[in-house]
Amino acid sequence: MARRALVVLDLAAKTGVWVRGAATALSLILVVAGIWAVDAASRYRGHPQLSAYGHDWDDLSDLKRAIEEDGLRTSCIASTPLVLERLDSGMETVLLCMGVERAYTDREAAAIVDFVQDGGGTVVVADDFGFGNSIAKFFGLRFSGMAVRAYGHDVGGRLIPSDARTSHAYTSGVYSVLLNDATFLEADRWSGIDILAWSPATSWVDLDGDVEKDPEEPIASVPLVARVRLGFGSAIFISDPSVFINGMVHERQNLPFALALLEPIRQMPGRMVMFDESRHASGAAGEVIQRALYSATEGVLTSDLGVLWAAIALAVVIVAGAVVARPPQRMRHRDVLEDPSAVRLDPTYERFSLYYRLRAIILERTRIRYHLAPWDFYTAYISSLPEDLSEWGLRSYIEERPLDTTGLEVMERAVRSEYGIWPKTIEVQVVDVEAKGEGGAAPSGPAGPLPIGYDEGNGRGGVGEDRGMGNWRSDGSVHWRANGRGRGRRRGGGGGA
Amino acid sequence: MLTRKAIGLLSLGSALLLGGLFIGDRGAVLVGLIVLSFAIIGSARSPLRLDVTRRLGRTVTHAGTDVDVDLKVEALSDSDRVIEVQDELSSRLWLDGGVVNTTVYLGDGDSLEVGYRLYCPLRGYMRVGPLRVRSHDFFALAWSDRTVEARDTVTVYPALDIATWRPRHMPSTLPEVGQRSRGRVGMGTEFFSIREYQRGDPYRFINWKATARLRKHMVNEFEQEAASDIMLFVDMREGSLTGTPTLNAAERAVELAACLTEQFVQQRRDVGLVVYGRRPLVLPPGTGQRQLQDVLYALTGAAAGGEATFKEALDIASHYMSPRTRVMLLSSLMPDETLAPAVCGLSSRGRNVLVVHVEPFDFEAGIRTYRVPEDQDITGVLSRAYTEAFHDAGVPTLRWGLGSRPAELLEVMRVAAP
Repeated sequence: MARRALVVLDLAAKTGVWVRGAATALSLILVVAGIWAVDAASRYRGHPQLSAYGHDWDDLSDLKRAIEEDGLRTSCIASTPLVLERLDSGMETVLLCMGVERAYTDREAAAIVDFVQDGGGTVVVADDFGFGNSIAKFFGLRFSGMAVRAYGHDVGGRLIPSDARTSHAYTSGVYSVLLNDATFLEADRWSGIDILAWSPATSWVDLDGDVEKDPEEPIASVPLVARVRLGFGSAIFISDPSVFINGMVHERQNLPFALALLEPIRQMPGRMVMFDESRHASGAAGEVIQRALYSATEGVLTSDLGVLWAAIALAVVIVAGAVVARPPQRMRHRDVLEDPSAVRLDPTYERFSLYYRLRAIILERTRIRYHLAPWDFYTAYISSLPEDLSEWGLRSYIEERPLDTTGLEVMERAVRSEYGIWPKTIEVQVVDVEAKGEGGAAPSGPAGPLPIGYDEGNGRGGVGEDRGMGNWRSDGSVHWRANGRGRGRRRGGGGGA
Repeated sequence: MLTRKAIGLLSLGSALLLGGLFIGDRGAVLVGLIVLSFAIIGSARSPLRLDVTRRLGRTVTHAGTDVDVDLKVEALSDSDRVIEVQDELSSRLWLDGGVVNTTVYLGDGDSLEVGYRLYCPLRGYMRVGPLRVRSHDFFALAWSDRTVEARDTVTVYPALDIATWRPRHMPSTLPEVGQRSRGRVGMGTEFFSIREYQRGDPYRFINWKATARLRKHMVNEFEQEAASDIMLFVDMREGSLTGTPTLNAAERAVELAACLTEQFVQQRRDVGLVVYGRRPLVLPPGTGQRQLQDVLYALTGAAAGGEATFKEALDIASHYMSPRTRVMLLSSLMPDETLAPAVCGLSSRGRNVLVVHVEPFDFEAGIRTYRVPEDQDITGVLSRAYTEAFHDAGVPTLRWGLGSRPAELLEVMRVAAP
């Protein structure tokens, strides 16, 4: 039976090891696979649009090439506009935000505003039905989100011609641009805002989006391009990003208009045009999740205070988890068969100190001498005990006061004289009890301490209420008695020693 | 309960997720989500149903023997699980062979068989079980403990260590213990009276001097002797617990009391038991195997502790003691104000008393490098005071040394018997 059990146990133990090993290996595999998947997802961009580095019809590569051919350097922001905070040459930079497919956080928007207001930079935001309002609202504008249609250029009225101008001091030309599926700009207050382009007078607002002119849809000329001056810089909002895509940039004067927007930096030595690529949606799975999370955490991670609270909450969770979480206690059978238990008397046996040993003996002898129960003695009587003792050293000794060397010596002398518990040095006075006529054993034998419970004075042996326990002699002498007392002496009524 | 590994993964995942969202790094967000999902899903568990069967080799035994235990654990859940099982044992049991805990991977219907051997060094009611089950998830991210209520009890009577001491002829008189005259004529050894010879009297009882003096056959009569009551007093106060659970005065006194009871029962004597510690436990004198079982049962469940005095125990037990009942005290002679007066009082009233000084455990004996003067050993001082007081009262005291077996004490008592 035992052999079978051991075999089973051995197999069980091996199974446990295998399980742990398999779990660890699988964990590693999952982590590696996860990292690989993340890497692949990050690389996969699906079908992005409005990218300066894409060459499809809806990308901006032609614009980028034209800018470079015009003698300006190009760059891009791939991660976050927060990098603008570290940009020193704001006045020499134009930031092109073509298509805001992901909202700017408050901090990102603040970085762009600072880039314009304090850095003197220029930002061009072209958007229609995206998240352009996440930055436009900081400049007093908003994209209406409603489509503008115009008769005469295509069947549905999607294409909207407009005469756009730039009011820069170096050029005041007017450019005929063509927009596609544009929206229009709105503002609570138009003061301080330059409207650079209007829609045709025959255009109307397609409220229901059916590309049909309904009676309730107003015919009006609405702002399509506007500029806001803020601090040392300016921001230009265009209500259609498709003006600059490869399929449209060569229509009419779209490209000259785009290059004209870069006039403020053309004479600057470090002129540079930055494409904000961080707002483009790739359509990858990761981005979908990220967008969903952004929506879920709207208001938390888009403000500094929210981020601070989130960081604090995370830190609290981590600390609390580290405190609460603990490895499971190892299972094993523990017996207490060899655990010591020292409940014998007092700390004497826990501290192997002569001091405490001596103190315990003195106290116990005193207790027996006064016929006191342990509880009464150690709780009540011990507090008044020093009053009965003459030597201050002994008193201190019992009260456990710290003693210096002199005190110890005094205490030792007191102990020797009062209790005689130092058999090696104490003088022993042998009492010849036979000479007293008490009978009993011969008073010979080795010198030893005074046994407890014996009274030489009354000459009687035994223990009783009024004899035996106690009755020390107070003259400091120590008496020894031999063994050999027995029933005969007891019955004889004497036999003290 | 989550492990620190899980907390670390959750923290890492949360930090990556929040940081990724904040700085707009999609890779960090995805990694954070993967780590978070891994930690959450990996630590999810469902309750595991187990069927536990335990078979004990014996449920009643004596101290110093082994008990074989077979444990079978069968999984009834649908899901596979890594579990760690341990049979919870009383801390007063010693694992003599096998193991009581192991980690296994149990699928539905799988079973685990564990066998181990317990050594029972102490008397008492020893608990075996319940089964403690710790469930892990596959990646050891979380764990949970629970118990499966499958309890058994092993009743361990005190050891009867008399196998090495079986004298051919048990002394008729232990020293002052166990025999008394019945005060009437019988087949004893003590002279009682002289009467006239009757037909059938043995010739060896004829008192020839009286026959010659009275000129008729006279025979001696002897006092009838019979086994008398013995009341065993076992000191189990708190002070007697000093030592280790296997080596302390209380346990040794219990063991000695059990052995003495068996011996006295074999001699067809009445034996009573008084255990005093917290509250005196009195078992009236009786004889036979039934009485032996009762004494063993009482000793098995006796718990040490408390500060009841010998006088309190004697006052209660005196209702069950005849005037000639012998008293045998098994004590470590710890401080007891009533001990010496009570024992001496018993002796003075003519009752036979025997004190067995069960030597207490001395912690310092094994570690101290110098010999402590006897008068500085507080317990030595006290026990000597009691011993001398008993001696003065004519009460014999036997010292039962630490580490000696009950048989050795019984041998001493046999030799000391008159």
